Amino acid sequence: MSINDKLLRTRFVVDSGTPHISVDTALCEGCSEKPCLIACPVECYQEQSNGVVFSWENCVECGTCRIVCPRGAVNWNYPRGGFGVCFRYG
Amino acid sequence: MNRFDAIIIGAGPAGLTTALVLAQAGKEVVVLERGEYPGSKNMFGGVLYSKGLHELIPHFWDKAPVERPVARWVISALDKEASFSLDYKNARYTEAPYNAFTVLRSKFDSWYARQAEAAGATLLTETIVEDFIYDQQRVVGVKTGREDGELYADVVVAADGVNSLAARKGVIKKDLSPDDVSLGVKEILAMPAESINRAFSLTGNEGAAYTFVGAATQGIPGGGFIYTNKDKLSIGIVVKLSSLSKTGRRPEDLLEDFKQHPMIWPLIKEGEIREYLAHLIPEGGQTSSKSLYKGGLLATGDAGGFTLSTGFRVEGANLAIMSGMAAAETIKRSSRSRDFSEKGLSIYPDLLRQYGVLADMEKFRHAPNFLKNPRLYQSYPELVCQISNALFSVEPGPKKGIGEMVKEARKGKQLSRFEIIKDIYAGWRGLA
Ligand SMILES: Cc1cc2nc3c(=O)[nH]c(=O)nc-3n(C[C@H](O)[C@H](O)[C@H](O)COP(=O)(O)OP(=O)(O)OC[C@H]3O[C@@H](n4cnc5c(N)ncnc54)[C@H](O)[C@@H]3O)c2cc1C
Ligand code: SF4
Ligand code: SF4
Repeated sequence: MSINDKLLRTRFVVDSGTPHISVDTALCEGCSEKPCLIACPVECYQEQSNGVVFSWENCVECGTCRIVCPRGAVNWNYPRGGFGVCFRYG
Repeated sequence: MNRFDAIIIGAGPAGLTTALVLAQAGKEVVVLERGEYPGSKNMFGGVLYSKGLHELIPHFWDKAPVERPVARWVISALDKEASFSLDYKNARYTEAPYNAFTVLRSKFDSWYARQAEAAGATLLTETIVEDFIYDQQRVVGVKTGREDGELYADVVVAADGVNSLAARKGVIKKDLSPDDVSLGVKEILAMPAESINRAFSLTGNEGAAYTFVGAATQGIPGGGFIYTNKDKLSIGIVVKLSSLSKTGRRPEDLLEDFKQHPMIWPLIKEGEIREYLAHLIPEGGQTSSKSLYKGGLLATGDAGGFTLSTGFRVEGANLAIMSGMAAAETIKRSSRSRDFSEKGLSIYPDLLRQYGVLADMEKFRHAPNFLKNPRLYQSYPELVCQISNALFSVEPGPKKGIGEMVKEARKGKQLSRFEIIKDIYAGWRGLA
């Protein structure tokens, strides 16, 4: 089962307007190890032909990318109050 | 009214304990929680140790949404196709005052929040704290994401968990590095209670806590776990973030491989996935006690770095509760002298020690380093499985003595006798 299929079971309250995390992908070009590609447990970071692409929709707000990024490219915040992932079991 | 005796950031076990104790003492407290409801952002393994909460809410298990009392603890070293286990069962663990319960945090944290509210605390959910309000370097309130959302208090408690953006703005100077945290990924699997009992050799409402090292994380420092809830399993892995980034293995793939392991799959095969979750654990050992408080502000629970991790077993919820009690006691004493300055709050580390929080962490201060040893997660699990194989397999030729078995199992693992002795010493120093 893919991570996207698994995440269909996890509840999200989607805040369609404002992404809570933004990535300064210009900094990614000089990043040799790109640990975010591996460590994000829901695959929000993808490598494409034009470089690293970040999409926030699957984010479970763990904070991993904030800590593993060696170049300070991740501007990390929580979603607005009440939005984002909403665990039903925990 | 936007003035309180205390503002608590975060409705996890640390913040709710602080709020409950202060409300019981007649203080006006408000708990601010960013999630839709308390627990909606929180996950753990999960075993909740009873001590601590039982002192605060006697016989809490009669009222709280606990899942099963843990009667069996199983620790296993996993090789690719084999496992070697220690299996401990204690009949007393299924009687009051139970040792520990399996728990699902969304239900539990919501219940715990209701206890704080019943004692008089105010809970505001969907409310995120964005910054502090200062008066001459002293914290005097918080700015929330709500309109006109400024709140004031004598003291603010940062109980906002491992990422603790608030505590980092206010009191903790050093940010987390990949070496200071582990990442946990977990799935909730629905499975009928009878099937759980059959698979885990349990009767009635008995629960089991299984932890695994070795192939569970493919040699990465950390481990795997399965906890039995009433009619759900919690299955997951915990991996050191610094090692994960280096190995090139994705956490969700490691979890999937763990589930498919021939020793694991038979236990869980009837389970149906209901939720996928991820969360960090602070594991850097003790942060300096200086960065736990300053004028008008205390950090508690995961925000203060209070977890005890022995590799595959994590204690944190109980330490969050004990540190919440220490924070509340600090505030009660400071309000007698009306001194919430840095000096007034400086009894906090002593109280943390009295409540066993810092004492436990100081005792295990060598553990984080010992637990980084890669041999613990690769060579030793393989070693015990291979020695067991030699013990239990019947093969042609004369039987080997135990010394010879160990020598053979050690071959190819670059495990010298010296290293084994060194590791045993480090283990004794770290964990004894
Ligand atoms: C995989 C894993 C397994 C674990 N296993 C166990 C175990 O078996 N037993 C055990 O005892 N411990 C375990 N732990 C540790 C335990 O979960 C934590 O130590 C415990 O939850 C800490 O409680 P806390 O109240 O400090 O923080 P949390 O429970 O994280 O609560 C923090 C709260 O603050 C809120 N918040 C954060 N920022 C803001 C803000 N700016 N504004 C408003 N609200 C905010 C969050 O939404 C959250 O509700 C485990 C942890 C993990 C990740
Ligand atoms: S780790 Fe940071 S800098 Fe490197 S690719 Fe990822 S986001 Fe970009
Ligand atoms: S916070 Fe966690 S889930 Fe969200 S993007 Fe970063 S690593 Fe991925």
